[in-house]
Amino acid sequence: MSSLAYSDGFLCLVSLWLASRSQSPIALRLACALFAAAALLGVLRFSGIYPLLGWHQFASMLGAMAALPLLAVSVIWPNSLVTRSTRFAWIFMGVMAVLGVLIVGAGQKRVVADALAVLSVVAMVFTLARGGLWRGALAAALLLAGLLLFAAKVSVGDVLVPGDLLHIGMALGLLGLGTLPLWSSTEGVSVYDHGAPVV
Amino acid sequence: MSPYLFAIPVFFLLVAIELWVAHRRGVQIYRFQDTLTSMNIGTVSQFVNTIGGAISVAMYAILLERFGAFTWDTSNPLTWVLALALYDFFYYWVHRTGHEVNILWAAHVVHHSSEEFNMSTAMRQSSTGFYFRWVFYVPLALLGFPLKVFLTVAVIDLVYQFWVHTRLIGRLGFLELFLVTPSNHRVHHGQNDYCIDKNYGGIFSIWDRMFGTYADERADEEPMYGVRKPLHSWNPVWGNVHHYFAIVAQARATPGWRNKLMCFFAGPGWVPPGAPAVPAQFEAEKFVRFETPAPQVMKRIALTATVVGSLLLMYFLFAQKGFTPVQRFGFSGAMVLLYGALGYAWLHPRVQGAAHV
Repeated sequence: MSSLAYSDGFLCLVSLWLASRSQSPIALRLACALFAAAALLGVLRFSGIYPLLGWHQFASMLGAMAALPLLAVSVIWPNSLVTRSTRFAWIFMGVMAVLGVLIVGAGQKRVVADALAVLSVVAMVFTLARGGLWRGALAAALLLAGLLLFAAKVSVGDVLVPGDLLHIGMALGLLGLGTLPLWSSTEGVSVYDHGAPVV
Repeated sequence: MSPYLFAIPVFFLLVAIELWVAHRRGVQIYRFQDTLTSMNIGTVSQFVNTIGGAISVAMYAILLERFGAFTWDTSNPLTWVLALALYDFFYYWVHRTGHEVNILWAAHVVHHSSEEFNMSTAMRQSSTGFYFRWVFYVPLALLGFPLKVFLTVAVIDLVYQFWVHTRLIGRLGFLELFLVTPSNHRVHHGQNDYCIDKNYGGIFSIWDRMFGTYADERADEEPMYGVRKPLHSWNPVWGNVHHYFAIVAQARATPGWRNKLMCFFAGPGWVPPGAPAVPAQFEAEKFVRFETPAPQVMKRIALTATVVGSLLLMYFLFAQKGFTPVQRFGFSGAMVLLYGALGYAWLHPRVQGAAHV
């Protein structure tokens, strides 16, 4: 069995756990549910149990085009409607997914999904660092590292291939971001007020 | 060849039968201008959707080819049954979002703009819904259902919904439990409080029961048909676009980008803070159907335009494969302009003045 199956399994478990946490905002849970679905399809693919290559690629595209931007919105604007309202989280994800289907699915412009994913994560790193939430910034940086190492096709010896680094980076990054106390503040009060987190 | 080429004469025949039955029973369920407007909206939508629908079909075909996972045996009836059930499930969500998200409601509102409920109402189909409807059926492409299966079940689902637009058929016993029927679809078209955002199903009402949007027709409160922000026009083109204009106008007048976005993505009843709300409760006694004078000469012109337009539509559907894209655009554009002009003429002061002579 490929190492990718294990690393995707790890990402799947982390995402599922975060998606099931009722104290997290709906946007984060929705994004994690989509990551979990993509990772589960990855497990099926890389383990050879039931390889659905097209579905895994499709779900991964949605993860880059819809779930990562949604996660970024929930981190950057923790009190926004998109972060806290089921309706608007779905609408945001739906609109982004449609753009993904049109640009990447039909138009084959994968670079757009990659660029959007990186931009979303960079925005999270920047926002969290500026707000002094260093643990969050580190988690987002791990996520960014996973994306960049994958794009650069970096391997760690014979043990970890680029896809493993992406999965592990994402899993650790999500774990760090998903357990931040960002969303526990009262609605209407920004955690980034006065340049320092108010949590 | 388009299946609608065969469906259109059948639809007209069913309208004629309904008219005859209503006449025999001594009930009036048709009004001249409303009926012609419904038919003309249907004709316009067919013209526009030959272009818009092609985009949807192309998207489905592309996604099917790139991501379709399974191979389905089209000689097996179960393939078709499953595809129809899944299509109807996704139709439920298309329809529900079409009612509950303002920018999507702008496309669907034309179907509800009639203040009558009869088989001609079924012809009031949107000309602008094609831009979002296809998205909901992407899972069918991912599942690998062949294009011909998808198109066939789509036509079955739409054609089924024709006959449920009638007031002449009562409740249908146990069928009410799982099928969309005239009774539960009357509720869907009502603007009474108990009818709002109910009964979205296409063929099966089980989705409404599953997701909590089912409502039975009430014997003590007959539905009053139409929408709470009435169209007040007989213009098929305006009927299709008026709510888009209303949303843009509302967004321009609303301060704050967050509220501006809400104008597009909140529910149709949403109003900016401080603005007067749409009446929260329906008051049947205050409801007045839209009526305008109709001089005989205008009636004759409108009827002729409707008949000629329908015949031209059938010719178009028959011959469209031989047309270049420019010819298609030209033909469709000319028909849209014709019906726009006709709709404008109904409310023109000279026509209204002639009615009083």
